[in-house]
Amino acid sequence: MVRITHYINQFFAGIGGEDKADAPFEIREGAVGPGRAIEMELGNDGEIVQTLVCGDNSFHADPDANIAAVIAAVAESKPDLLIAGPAFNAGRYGLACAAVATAVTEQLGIPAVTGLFPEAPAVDVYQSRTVMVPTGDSAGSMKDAVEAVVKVGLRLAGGDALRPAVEDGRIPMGYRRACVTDVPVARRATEMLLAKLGGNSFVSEVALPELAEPIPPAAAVVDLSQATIALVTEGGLVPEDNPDRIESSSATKWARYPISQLEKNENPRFKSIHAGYDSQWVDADPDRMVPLDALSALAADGVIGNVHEYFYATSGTGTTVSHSERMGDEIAKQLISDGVHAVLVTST
Amino acid sequence: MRQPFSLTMHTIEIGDVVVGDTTGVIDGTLTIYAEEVASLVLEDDRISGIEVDIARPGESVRIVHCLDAVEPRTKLGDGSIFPGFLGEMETVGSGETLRLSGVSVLTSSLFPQPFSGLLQAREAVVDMSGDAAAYSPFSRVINLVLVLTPNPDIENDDYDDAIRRAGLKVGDYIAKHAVENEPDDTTLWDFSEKDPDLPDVVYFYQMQSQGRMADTFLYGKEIHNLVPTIIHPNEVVDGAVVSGNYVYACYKNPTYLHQNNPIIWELQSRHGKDLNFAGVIINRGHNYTQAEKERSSLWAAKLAEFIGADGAILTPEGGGNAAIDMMLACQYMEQAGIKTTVVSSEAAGTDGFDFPLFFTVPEADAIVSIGSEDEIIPHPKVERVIGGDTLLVDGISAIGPFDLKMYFHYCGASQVGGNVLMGREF
Repeated sequence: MVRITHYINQFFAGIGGEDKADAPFEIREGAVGPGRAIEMELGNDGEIVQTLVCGDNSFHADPDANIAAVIAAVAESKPDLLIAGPAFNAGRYGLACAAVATAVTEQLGIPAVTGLFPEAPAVDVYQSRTVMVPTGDSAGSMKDAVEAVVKVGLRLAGGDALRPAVEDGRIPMGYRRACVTDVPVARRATEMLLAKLGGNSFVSEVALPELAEPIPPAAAVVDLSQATIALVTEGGLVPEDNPDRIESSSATKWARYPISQLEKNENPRFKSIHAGYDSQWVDADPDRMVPLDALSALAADGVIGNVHEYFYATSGTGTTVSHSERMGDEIAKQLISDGVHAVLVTST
Repeated sequence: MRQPFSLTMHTIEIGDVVVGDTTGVIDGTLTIYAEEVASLVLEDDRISGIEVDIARPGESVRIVHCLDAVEPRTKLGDGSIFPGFLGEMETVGSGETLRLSGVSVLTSSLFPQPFSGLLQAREAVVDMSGDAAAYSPFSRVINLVLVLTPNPDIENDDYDDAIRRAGLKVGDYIAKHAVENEPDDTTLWDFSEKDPDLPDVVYFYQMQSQGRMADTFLYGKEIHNLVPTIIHPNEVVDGAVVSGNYVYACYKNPTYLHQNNPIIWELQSRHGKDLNFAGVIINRGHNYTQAEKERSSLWAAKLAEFIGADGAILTPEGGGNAAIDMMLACQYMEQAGIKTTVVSSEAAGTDGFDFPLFFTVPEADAIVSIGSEDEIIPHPKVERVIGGDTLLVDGISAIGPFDLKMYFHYCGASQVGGNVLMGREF
């Protein structure tokens, strides 16, 4: 029999409504309020051993202390599962449920589940960190919500790994994993095509992205002859021992190196560690990736003010969008703080 | 699509492979006379040593430094199975072919000279059991592994050629020792009859060919500058396409997967039932400039129109660069009124939270996922490693345990559908 700790607010504990939202954290033995419906659904498969109650305002007045109290209570009773809510479309209560479920999972390694309306404010905040089942927007849908929470909760308490969100009936956590399936790739591809050709419905296994926000270009450089220009590349040009361990593909790191070193190109010599193009010509002459020769000539002629003292490098192949955005943001901030006016980005 | 492309494919199913005194098949067991295989391979003095080993599904065995894999096949009657490499130049795809299913000839080796840059043979691992075995089609067949040692004085390109020929030669040699056996199955590959009531489906088969270690060969010749080309499905499965692609273990299509391309075999099995298999368009991916990508993709769409295709299935070979070529072809085909399904690997980062595709077009509304290139796969300690002691990744000891990115898993992100995987949202 699965031992469960249940978290609810003052309303579901029968203490009172908004006027009792400052009810302090307390621990009660056994099932309270919706906990009884949960026990009905559990039948002989589980029982609620304790119920933790906290008023909505009281919880948010000091979330750290209340979460610490939850953790202490759960650590002591060592349940197999924590159920929080369900909280439906509630704002404060939903956030408390999601925060409690997240803390219990992350700090104690005990599985936890909550039930929320998919558009509830807590979903956006905690979606990636905690298990949520979708519910209706009010307690009117309690019966279905309890059924869904119990179904997923019992599986997790039994030590099962998460299944794909659609199979578990969960709100997706937002990550993807390769899974072994019953139907071979070629058959899925053919059947999807035949459905499309026949005008029948089909589900793409990857949904297309929202269109990205266009990035407005920076304002033009007013006086090039006074401008400091930096060189940035995704061509993987690094000192030959790759001191910053920039990955050859799917990079997560960038680094900058003194332009004076690149000019000498000995001790260290520079080479490309990029795994996505034939770099033999770049290795033979790094100017072909980072055109320091041409830019230096422009500086000597007074066309540009000067070349920035560092060049920036990462390797751009198989790099995820989020790492690309982060690295771009970090590099741009560094360049701005160094007083760089414009950047020449060379790519492969 | 008319004659002479009528191919009779005989299959002998192999249930076990053992070493013995004579090469041949008895009751589904393939016996290999290892000394004879060794002397055949060592006829080429670019190879200085060979060990013949066997890895079976379910064994606690790991194969490392995997290069090409070949299914044992030979032509019955006149002709050779890999023209351009074995025998006289000719076209394949007709006549009779004998194949031994359930077994692959897998080459494993390091190269004689150091590599740099893109064009290098990177690590490629196959586990024969455990969780990691879900991530390679070669975990599900018996592998006759040829562990080769190079003549140290030759160049990598020369050795690459020697390895390729060794695998093809041994595949042909094995099948030739089974020509007297009764086949378990005989299938006619003939698409000359078309049902006018069924949709015509073309397969857009994109291949990587960027230089040595990243090559695909068509009738013995690299396809570096190939414009998209119509080829009969029978030619592909009958040895016209040979792999020399070792740069990205997870994506590559070894020769075995050209011979057994799951998309082609699926379309073959459904021809005349719910579709007409209208042909294959080979496209060389990894075009270097936007103009070259568009030229190639427009050309492929044009060929699909020439064929009169109603629908197309598209597969790439490679990562982001390859995805752009395929997606553009999808776009131009859709704009020409040809419905498409694209098959893609996913790259959502090791935690899986990122957007999983490198490049998309709005027309790609029917995407089949083959899994991920980014996931970290735990590999247990195994009893035995074939091919070497140390991975070509951070000096990891090959016996395990270790965690390894899918990227280094042999055909782990096979975009032609070598695995039974799908990227799912959690």
